[in-house]
Amino acid sequence: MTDTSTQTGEPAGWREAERRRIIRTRRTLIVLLVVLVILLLITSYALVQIFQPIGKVASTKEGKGVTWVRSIYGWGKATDQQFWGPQGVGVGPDGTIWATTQAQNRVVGFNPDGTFNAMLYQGPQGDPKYPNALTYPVDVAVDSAGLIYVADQTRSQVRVLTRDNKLVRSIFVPTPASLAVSSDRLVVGSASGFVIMTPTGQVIKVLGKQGTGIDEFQAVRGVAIGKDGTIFAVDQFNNRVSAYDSKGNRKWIVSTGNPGNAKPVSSSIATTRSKAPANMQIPAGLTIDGANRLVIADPFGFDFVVLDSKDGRYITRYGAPGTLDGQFVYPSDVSYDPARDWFVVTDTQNARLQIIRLPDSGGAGLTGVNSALSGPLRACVIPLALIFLAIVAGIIYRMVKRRQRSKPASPAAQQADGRAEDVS
Amino acid sequence: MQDSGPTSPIEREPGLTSWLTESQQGGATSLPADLPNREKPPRPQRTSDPVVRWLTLAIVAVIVFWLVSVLSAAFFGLLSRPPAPRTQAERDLLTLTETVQSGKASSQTYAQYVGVLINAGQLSKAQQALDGALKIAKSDRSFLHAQQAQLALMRRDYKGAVAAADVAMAEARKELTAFMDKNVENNRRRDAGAVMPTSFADAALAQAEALLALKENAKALKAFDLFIEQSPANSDILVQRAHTKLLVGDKAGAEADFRLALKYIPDYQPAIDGLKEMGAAR
Repeated sequence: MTDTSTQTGEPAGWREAERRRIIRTRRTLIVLLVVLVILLLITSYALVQIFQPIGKVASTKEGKGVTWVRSIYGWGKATDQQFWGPQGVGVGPDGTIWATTQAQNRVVGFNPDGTFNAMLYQGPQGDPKYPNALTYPVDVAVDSAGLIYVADQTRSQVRVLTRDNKLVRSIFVPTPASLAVSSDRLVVGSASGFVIMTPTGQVIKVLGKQGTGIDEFQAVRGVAIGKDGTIFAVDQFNNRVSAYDSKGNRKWIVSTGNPGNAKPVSSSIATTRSKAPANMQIPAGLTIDGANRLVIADPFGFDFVVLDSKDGRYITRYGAPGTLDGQFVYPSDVSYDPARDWFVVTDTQNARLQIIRLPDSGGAGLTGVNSALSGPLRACVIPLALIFLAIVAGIIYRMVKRRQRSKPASPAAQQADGRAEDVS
Repeated sequence: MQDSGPTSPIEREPGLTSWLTESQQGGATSLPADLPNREKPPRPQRTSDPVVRWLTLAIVAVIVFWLVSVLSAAFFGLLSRPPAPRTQAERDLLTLTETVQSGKASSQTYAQYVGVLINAGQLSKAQQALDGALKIAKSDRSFLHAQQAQLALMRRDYKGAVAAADVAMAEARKELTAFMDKNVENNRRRDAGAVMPTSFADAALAQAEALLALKENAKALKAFDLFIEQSPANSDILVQRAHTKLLVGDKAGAEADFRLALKYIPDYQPAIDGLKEMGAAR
């Protein structure tokens, strides 16, 4: 009888059968893998379709430097839950976006991902049953404790509310048009100047009177407080911006264009070109970005002008007119979120809020991660973490294996091996 | 010298034969306990082949990754679309769908709705809506035909776009005539408040774009002329017409159009660029 066994004692027939079985298994597994990868790609595509909003969005070029992140059109699906013309905006320390919609006499809060968060609504206007109803909320700011300050213009009050719509206090200020709050200051802009207060409403200083001279104002439509306590005020119709220290002493003042109420606007807005480098039409809301620059909305210029906060020097401008997401029609106010390095804009005539990014806004550290986690990309966090863990586990496994291989066998093991050889 | 006994483990061990048969039939897979280790056949369920091992690992990884991705998206609330619209197109779609579904939409509203669907890339739905609207519309049909031209343009059916635009412009002229006739009926001045429907200009523009795509530049120029007649201060289209004039060799006409565009929007960059390209001073 012929020898069909191998040196290892395995029959050749088995080896052939095993080889065939392995080839079959490989083929099956490859097909399965391809099918699964296709399934994964289809799922990914479907997820992207769900995340991806419908419609064209302006590119950074079409938006003249503006990078669109997302838009917020309302707080629900019903027609009466859409914005009519949001005016003021403020970002809370937790990234919550608060926007006033004065015609709908309410302030609406949104999460950074654009979903609805809370509604500050004290009842319908003009109904005696609701004495605290907001009548014409034009601006909003949030302090470090999360209290929401609302400038109610027709009531001549600043309302301080909690996020669950409870009124904490009301502060009298004649026709407030803008406000800003810090840990120790509340600054409220008005038709004829601005007032510096403590956050509880105690007046520290009242600045300005109606007029066109220095330290005179015609509608302070934007105010902001710097990290060092510097107060910045936008004088809308005198078309200038000024800076004051926390006690109200003026540091600098710059012209940002022709006084809007001194020169009639002709058929073409371009004919009102001024000698001021900023050449703004009517400056409105402002904010301070991470690079310590002043970013000022120009509703009639349909863009944003950037000034140096140290001296008011003109730096640049961003933004283009249009209805595409990423473009603007009468942007009224702007607020910076330092944690996410983005700006929230009330695009009033387009009846929406827009979250945008501007170049060189100074975001550093984890702002990129924060902003990514505020969007659909957050769904990738767990899978990516899993891949990372798998890679780390693989590396550790290989290292342990390598160490085990390179480790010399113990004398006991060697002895045992020797015995085994003797037996064989 | 080999002995004449069994030469393979199967032949040597009768219990193994029955085990192998059972395992091939999908039966029990346990080995006889007394079989020496060296003679055990390879277990059919496991393999030492590295490729198979890696493929199995990859499959498990893909399945886990797939499950985790879906669960993660669900966990973060991303599987359901947010209730509020996120773009202009979504908002328009929301409000116009509501109006259209209420059954009170005019032809113009239908046309807007179709326009939004076109912009959203939902071309089949746009065609459906358009067909439905054309069946019921009694007035302002030019707006629907203008959208038909736009839809054909998006589908790169340029000849279809040209034809639809022709129909739209003819309908628009009829609508204007009907309006003026009604003025006469009501003892008003014939041209009181009479303006060409905006669908005429929209159709002319769609036609111009389609003709440009068909390389029929002279005809495209005529279509641009029709648009400019209706909207003479549109710098954007003036610049487009200027470029078309350059294509047909009318340099003087192109320069005039670039300059006209700058009259309406000083510093209009496309017009400045156009003059620069043709070597004319600003």
